[in-house]
Amino acid sequence: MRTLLLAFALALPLPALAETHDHDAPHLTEIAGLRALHAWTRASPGREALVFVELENTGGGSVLLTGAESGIASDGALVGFVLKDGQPAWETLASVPLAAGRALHLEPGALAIRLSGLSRALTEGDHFELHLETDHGALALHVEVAAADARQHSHAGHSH
Amino acid sequence: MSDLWYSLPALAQDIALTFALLLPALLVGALVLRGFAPWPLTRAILWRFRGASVMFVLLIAISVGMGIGLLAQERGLRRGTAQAADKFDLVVSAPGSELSVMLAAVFLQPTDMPLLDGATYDEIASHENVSVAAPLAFGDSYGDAPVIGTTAEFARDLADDRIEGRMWQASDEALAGALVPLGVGESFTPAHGHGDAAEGDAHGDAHLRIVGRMAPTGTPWDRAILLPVEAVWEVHGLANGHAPERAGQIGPPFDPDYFPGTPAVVVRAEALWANYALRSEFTRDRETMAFFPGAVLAGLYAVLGDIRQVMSLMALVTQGLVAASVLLGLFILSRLFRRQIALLRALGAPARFVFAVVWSFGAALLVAGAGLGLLTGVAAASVLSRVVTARTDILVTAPIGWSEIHFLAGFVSLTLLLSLLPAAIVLRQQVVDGLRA
Repeated sequence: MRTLLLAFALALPLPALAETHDHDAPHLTEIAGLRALHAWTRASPGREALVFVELENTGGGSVLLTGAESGIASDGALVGFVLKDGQPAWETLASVPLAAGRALHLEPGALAIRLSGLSRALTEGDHFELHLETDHGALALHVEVAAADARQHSHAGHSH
Repeated sequence: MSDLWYSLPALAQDIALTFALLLPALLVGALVLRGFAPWPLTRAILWRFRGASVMFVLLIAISVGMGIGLLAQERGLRRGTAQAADKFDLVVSAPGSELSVMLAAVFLQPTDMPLLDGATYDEIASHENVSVAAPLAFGDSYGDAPVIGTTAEFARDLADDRIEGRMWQASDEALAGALVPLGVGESFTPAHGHGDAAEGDAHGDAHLRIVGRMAPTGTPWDRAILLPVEAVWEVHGLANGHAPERAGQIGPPFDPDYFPGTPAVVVRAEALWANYALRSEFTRDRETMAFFPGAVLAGLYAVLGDIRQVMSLMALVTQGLVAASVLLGLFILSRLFRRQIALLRALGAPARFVFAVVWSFGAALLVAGAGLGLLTGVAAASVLSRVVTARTDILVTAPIGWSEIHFLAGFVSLTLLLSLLPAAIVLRQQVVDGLRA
């Protein structure tokens, strides 16, 4: 019985640890010199979400961004903001090159990753994984869900 | 189900929504009128009380028309301002307020702005993804017309290459916007500044000649005079953007060492993605600010969206009040023909027939008022568009859209359902009391 209680007591902090790990998920990820910082999206009950992230190509050659994939969405694509007849719209971009030494900010009113067919609602404080597809492989992003009316990542401006 | 809905084309969704909004009224109408033909009697009642009926129809029409007109106008204004920003893919300026720079560059509202230097302009213009980098130079005017310095390429693009006369070929030649009161061949001297504060004799030795007129663009640029950016620099006693050995050159490339500065550069890239890359690249702390006027406008529309919701709510409340007044009026009118209704019932007319007569009387007033209201809305939107266009130089057109049709369908449906109430009340009145009335 004592052993059972001890095992139970040891198991108790595990969810808390798991939560801490989620909060401390890295803001910065990298593949082949392509660095991604502060991936975030807005809380949404709908089936679509736009993900924003700061990208920087610190490698020696150009990187081609081709799309995105996430376990919580049926489709992911790079999209660009346009204003059509006074209505905001997002046009799909087949690919976006990022030259060596250049930065690219995916942000509201500009570029974004559009996730379609979300399998669940996104609530503020939530996190999920997303893979940004490039010609150098997939770059893992830890996406933080911000408030529904957020304009930027809560750590925007921190260089980490 | 939602997947099926989203898979439908927008037009099919709009038609389906209109039908769904009208469905309750159609069902009620079919049920109430089933098996009866109350229209001859309804027509007689309408004619007997034609004065009151016309007043009700007009009341409904004006209320519905004003609501529709205002909603259509808001959308028209949004489209007009978006169209005015169409030619400005990306604007690069010194850091500051995106809204102020957009108002100055796109809508030609005078404002003091810091300048980008020659090296910065050269970096933008020589970037491998940039196909057009047009410097703008504001600050002068002629009468009500702002005088703007830029490049021939941007001026052509602004007018969709529709220029009566010809493009400038020297720094003393200019193009007039479609609404500028200067003809081809006429000369003018720009004043320094705008409005009452303009110094008319500051550039007294500059005599510029209009050599072409741009086709209407539906933007504030129709009231502007465009000239080579070199001309603006020269009349201010500055270098004209070119080294002395190329002093006669008009247009790019500019020499960074002889570039006096520009408050804003309109940038265009061939590929859509490149505009976003350029925005990231030229957004630099304390150096440059790059923004999409379309995105700034979208931010404004988001704020105005709240105002639209308030406007929609006010229109709904107004129409709700009108609907309540109409229902009250129907009840009062039914008191006027209480005796005739009682006589009908005494003669053996079924209660449902009497109910159908009273309901169809109300329905006729409401449907006629809503139809006339739609026409009133079209007229109101057209008048408001002309007023706004005249005051802002932004071409605003406000045709009635599906949101107004949905608004109207919802109003008709709701009021036709509510008209069941006076019909039911009439039916509850005693026949004997009615005959004695």
